[in-house]
Amino acid sequence: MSEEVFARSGELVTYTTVHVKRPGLPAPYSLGQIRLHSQGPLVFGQLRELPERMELPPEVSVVIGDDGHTPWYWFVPERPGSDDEVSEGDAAS
Amino acid sequence: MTNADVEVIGVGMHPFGRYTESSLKDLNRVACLNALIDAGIGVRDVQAVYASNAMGGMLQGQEMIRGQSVLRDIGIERVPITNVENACASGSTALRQAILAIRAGAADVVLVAGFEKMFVDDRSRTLDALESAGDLDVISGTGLQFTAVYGMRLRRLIAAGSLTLDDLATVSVKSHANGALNPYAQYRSVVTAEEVLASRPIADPLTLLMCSSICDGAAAIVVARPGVVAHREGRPTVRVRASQAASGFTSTGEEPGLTEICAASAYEEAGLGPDDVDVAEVHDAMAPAELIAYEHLGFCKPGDAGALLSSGETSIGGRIPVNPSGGLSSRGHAVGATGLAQVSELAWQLRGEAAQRQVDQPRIALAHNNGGWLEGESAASCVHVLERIESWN
Repeated sequence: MSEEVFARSGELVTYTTVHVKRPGLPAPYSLGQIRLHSQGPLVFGQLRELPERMELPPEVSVVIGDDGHTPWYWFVPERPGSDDEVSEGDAAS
Repeated sequence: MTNADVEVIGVGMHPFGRYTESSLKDLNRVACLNALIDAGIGVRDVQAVYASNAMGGMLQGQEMIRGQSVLRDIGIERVPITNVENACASGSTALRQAILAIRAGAADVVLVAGFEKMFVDDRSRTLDALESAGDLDVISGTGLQFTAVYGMRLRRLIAAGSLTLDDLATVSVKSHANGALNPYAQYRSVVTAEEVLASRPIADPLTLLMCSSICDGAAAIVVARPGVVAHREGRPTVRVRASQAASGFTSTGEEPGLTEICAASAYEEAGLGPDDVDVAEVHDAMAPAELIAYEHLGFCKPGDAGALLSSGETSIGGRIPVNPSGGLSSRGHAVGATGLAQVSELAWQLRGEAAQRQVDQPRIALAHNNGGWLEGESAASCVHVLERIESWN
């Protein structure tokens, strides 16, 4: 076993917007599968700040929460000029 | 006939639906007694039981010995009872264990009992239980629901041009039309494509009328070594040609999927191919998942699922009818019982006892049942192939 560092951005392979609320999670909310860059794995995560219409596959990058709540990471669409660094976010936002 | 031969000698169900006044024991009692009567045997003829239930721990608080608890109600005690949980594939997994027990010589007559009660006081408890069919270390707090898993799979296929929204609506219409013919089905109303598309959104692109829902029900199967139980006069013989299982993996999205892997093993064991299948019950927790199964089971080439559906070949009167029962989305999806409901339907089809939904003289039948979710792939899959031995007159 060895530790691997994955890219912090990737290609959104697919996504869905869920319209059934869950405790602590008002509907609608979005989930997606992301193939991380540099031949990284296919991972699953929440999506936030999605535009109303989106063609697959857009680029997304990970945001790491900082208050210990789940989920502790999620993905947002990449903006022109953004770099490949981890963003700090507020998990409660 | 070989030592590996196993026959399905009895099947039975409790209708799927909402039964607020019925307990797990009530549901299981009806299914098991129907299966034993169908097999022409009594409870004392049962040498072992595999009991399938997925959610009784979280929903009824019966975390342990669920099988022993419900089976003592019908006088099945002392014999080995093994409890099986494999999410939505629990029933077919239990059936496979029963088949393996007979092949191993551990028993000659085995009952497989599947039961589930998902309607409880608080719907969010049922959704929590369903969510536990994924790896909670990964999905906890994300709001993952099965509808979302299927929504993501289908959106990808629509984006690639392999399927259209109309395909999703059309297969849902077919599912409801078949369910309307099935007295065991949860939903027995026909719907139009317009109604399907206009029903409320659940997880894009899925709408309410495309999805299976919370469900109560039970199903049971009796399997036996040939010749051990007296053959019922005039009853066609249903024999197991293949029984295969496989588990999921962290998918790259590029390799063959779990269903493809499991189906390939089943076809190899049966010495048959997808062209030999005359009728199939496939895992369509959301009706459009049937379209994905067409491709993964080899019923059509990748990208041709919509065309196969449009051709009518998967309708009850077609070349290879799929989900004549109405499938999970219309017959219902009482999780622990689903795999056994599929095999019950196929036994009735092979014996010519499926009444209004009877397909034309099938000889080979295939059941496909998946369960749980790992990132990008189901966690469990079972494929069974059944054969009618006697020719049709």
